[in-house]
Amino acid sequence: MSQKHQAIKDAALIAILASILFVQQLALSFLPNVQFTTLLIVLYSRVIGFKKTSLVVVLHVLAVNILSPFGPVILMQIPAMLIGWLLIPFLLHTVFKKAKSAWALAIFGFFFGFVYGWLFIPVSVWLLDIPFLSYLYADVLFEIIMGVSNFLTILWLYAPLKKLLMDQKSRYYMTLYEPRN
Amino acid sequence: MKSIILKIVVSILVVSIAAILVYRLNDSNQATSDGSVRIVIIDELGNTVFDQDVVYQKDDNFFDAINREFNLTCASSSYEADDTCSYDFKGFGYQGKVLLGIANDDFSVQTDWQNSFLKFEIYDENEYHLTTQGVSDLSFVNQDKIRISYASVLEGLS
Repeated sequence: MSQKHQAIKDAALIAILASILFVQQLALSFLPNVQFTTLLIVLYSRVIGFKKTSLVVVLHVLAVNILSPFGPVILMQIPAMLIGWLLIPFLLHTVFKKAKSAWALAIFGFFFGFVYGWLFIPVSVWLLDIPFLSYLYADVLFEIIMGVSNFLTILWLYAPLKKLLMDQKSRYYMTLYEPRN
Repeated sequence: MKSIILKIVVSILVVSIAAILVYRLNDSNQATSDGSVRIVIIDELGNTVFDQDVVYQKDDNFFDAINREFNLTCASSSYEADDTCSYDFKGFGYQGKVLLGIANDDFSVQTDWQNSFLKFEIYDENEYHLTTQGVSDLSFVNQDKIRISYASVLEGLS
């Protein structure tokens, strides 16, 4: 496969995976913090690698903030959202490089639910002048829900989805060749 | 098979613990005794149109307290203005009433949710801070000072 052909396939794959991420988040927006976003980003990180997953995340954050009626009300929250989702591929390719099992990733997802919520604290506390403890207390319910949602979705769906995506990726590239990260 | 059973057991445990935590943390913020709160209301032009104590009774939430004193307009399920305030939002993240307007014989401050909304702030440590809950779940104690202001969506919360 030529480099140009490879780049076109990569771009199409990134767009498709970003749209899956966006659509599921939109479909589940009526349930606060219940989503498959963490599961999918963890899955993408393990199957398509750091660079492509990061591009998927950037596209997803742009789409959510431009197209979704459920995007952040406050523009200053966009960097927190971007950093939050980018943390998954970053951490899974550095500190948690060896975490490959569904159990390990589910525990990672549980704690990530809290970390993601905390990333929004600086904006809310410093820019909106909401007291730190009040914000933390009000947000902890949503962090618990996100943590549990991440834990359960990764525990139950990571392994079958990984198998499915790996098969599809092999077919898509028509070879067992591992695309560059 | 063992792995599946373990997954089921752990999943049930995690959901149960989370449900208990959510239930314990999700308090209703009802008054534990009779008292009063200072209510300050700011209109569209930034003028203070109301600045007086409003009494509340035991078991009132903040909505009950101001509903006794003012004519309130709430959001219906489709965010249309509803003077009866009969609709309660039931979603986990947004339970209770959404207040669109507040009025009495001397003033009226109305918002439409699309372009404007009512901002709730509580006086604490020499300045006002945005509340983290809406009108039904707002936490308050005797002698608190709460400001309700007209805010434009375009201008934001700050």
